[in-house]
Amino acid sequence: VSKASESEIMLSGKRTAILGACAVLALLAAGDRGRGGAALAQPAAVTSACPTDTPTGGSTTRVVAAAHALEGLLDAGQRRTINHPLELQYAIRWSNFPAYIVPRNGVPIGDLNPEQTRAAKDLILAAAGACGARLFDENREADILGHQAIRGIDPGLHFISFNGVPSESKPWMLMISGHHLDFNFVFNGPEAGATPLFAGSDPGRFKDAKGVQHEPMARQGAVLADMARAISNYPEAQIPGVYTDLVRSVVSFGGGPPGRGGGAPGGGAFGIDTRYPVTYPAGPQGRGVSYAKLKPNEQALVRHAIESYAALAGRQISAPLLKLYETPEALAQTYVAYSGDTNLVQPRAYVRIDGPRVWIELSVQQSLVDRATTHFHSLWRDKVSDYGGQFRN
Amino acid sequence: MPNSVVFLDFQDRAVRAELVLPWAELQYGLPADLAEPRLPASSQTIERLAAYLREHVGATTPEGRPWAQTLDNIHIVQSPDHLDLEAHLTFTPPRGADTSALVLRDSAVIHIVMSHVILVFDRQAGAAAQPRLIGVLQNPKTMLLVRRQLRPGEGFVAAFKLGMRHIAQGADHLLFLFTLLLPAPLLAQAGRWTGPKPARQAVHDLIKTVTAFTIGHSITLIVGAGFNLRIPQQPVEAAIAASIMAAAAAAWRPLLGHGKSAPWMAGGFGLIHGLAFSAALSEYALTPRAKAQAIAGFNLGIEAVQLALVLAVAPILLWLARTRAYPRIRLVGAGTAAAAAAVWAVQRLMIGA
Repeated sequence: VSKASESEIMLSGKRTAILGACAVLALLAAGDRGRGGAALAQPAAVTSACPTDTPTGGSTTRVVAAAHALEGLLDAGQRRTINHPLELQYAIRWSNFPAYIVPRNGVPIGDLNPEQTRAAKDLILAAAGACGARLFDENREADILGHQAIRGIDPGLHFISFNGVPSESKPWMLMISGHHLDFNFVFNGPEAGATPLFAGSDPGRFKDAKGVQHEPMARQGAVLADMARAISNYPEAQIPGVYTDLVRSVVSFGGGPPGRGGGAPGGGAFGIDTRYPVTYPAGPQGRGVSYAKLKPNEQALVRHAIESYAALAGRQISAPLLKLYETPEALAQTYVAYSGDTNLVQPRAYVRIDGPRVWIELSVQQSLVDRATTHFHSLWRDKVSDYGGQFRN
Repeated sequence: MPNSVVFLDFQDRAVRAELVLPWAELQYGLPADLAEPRLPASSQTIERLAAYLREHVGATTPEGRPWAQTLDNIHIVQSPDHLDLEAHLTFTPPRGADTSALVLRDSAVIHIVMSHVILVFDRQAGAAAQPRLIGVLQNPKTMLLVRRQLRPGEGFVAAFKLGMRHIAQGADHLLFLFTLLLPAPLLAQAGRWTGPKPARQAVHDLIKTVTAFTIGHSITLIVGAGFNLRIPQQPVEAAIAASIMAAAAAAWRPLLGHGKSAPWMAGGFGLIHGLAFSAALSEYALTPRAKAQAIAGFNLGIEAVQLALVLAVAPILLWLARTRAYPRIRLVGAGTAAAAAAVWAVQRLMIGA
């Protein structure tokens, strides 16, 4: 198992050849859309719209029922594996890294039988809503392709974990965590708990085995690019520096070869949310352009961008948060910023929404599965209610 | 994206640092013509990279005084799919400072790459093969206060040495102990010290007095350091001066604490001295286990020096107590102690400890 950082997974000659072949295939598949990441820029004839969630999406009653239904189908060993205490050390174990590099809590979906899998998918739909559940399915599709390039990547390595006992009244946490997609929902906590929510996909755009085109992050990518282009008219919206990745996500590995600073010195602390509770920029400087300064149509783009992330959690989980994010007072204290390519196509493009509570950031990076293209990392955090406010000091 | 790593290696006279900077991220901080180096790198390239590191990496004392710094070596390390810049630096503390704490300043890469993180490790603090992560730097945070962490076992030895040094340099503690011993070989009668005790009883009483003092200061040292009690040191220091005064008075006349009550007085004053000892340990933020080690080592270090003093001084006192000169010696000793204690008391109350 390679412990190198995701972006520098060692390439043996053989693997390079496979990757090269993948890149060529991808280019062929991309057809006349041009080279590399440019293909991502154009809204394609893919299902970029999110399916509409039902009003009961994310309801505690429904999620608890679905959790119990799944648990009822598990054998004793699986039941031990899926249950963890509601403690910070388990809560922070999510990552953008594949699970073969950064292990997760809980049972992997790949180990479930068909009946259990159906129950697991019901649970994911109940909690993440239609949009989140679709992103989950498409990430697993992406992992099928990823597996061809990097063996450790595996669509079965998305894990479900109950931290605390699923209950309609007592606090507990549902983690659905795998490569490039992590849901951390807390129910009955001190705060509504939808975050941290890591959303991405590598490749960003691909054709599955049946020839169906996917672009899992199409909606978020498109609306954030619209926003980035709109705010680029304001000089302060462009924040200085280079963004090769997110700034408030998990702590990544060190550089250098494994064992000499690279890989995972200290093991457990890496690739997960070790830095929680996170600190955020303060004051008006360096945070981009104020929402208050934007024109109404530009302001609408900011709200749409926030809503595109809220849509990745069941409606009843995200609605109370969305309401807080979109009060006039909260929006007046919200900043939006970008760096690099406003089309969110070129590597190092970066865009961010930074409110009194909401924190959404998206970074564009080279794809590791298909090196000629790019892929997104994005993160929705809440400065107050990450992990349902369960572990604030 | 890969991050930078700094490994710190605390030594007695210097702190060595090994830096690994992934070129994929470092390139954005370098001038365009350096960003894609031709390998092997020319000496001019290396010199410019060294200048970059010198500009961005340094160390100061917690108060901000700069440490001396040498760049021992620097090279570009090529792996199959990536490059790293690796460098070794040696930081030497300025006069009057030691290697127990430094502020690392490192803005390399993070001055420009906002998503980049510098992981700072203490190579000695963790288990043998696993350096311990002690902090992360990310723009705009470029400084990290690092306190030397001790290796398992090293904690005990270092604390033992610290304890020995602490009491050996603590003239007030030693003077107190000496003053306490002055009348120990004597018998008291009608409010005056008279002739010498029988030798056996004198030795016995001496041991009791010293043991009581030890128990007293151990109690407050363990409680104070163990629970991280923040005890204002000025009153403690003043009380220690007062304790010397009291011991001097007791050496002059058997006013308080003679015979059976002598050990109680020694133990009571020991409590005060222990509070001062505990302050010496309070600045170390340690795990409970390391703390227990440190307290044990520190206390035993104190006892070792104390025992050495008693073994050196007690036979002489026992012998002198049998001479005619002893009343004078005792009074001169008590007077000297009282005078020193008075000076300390004034200093500590007026100027602050």
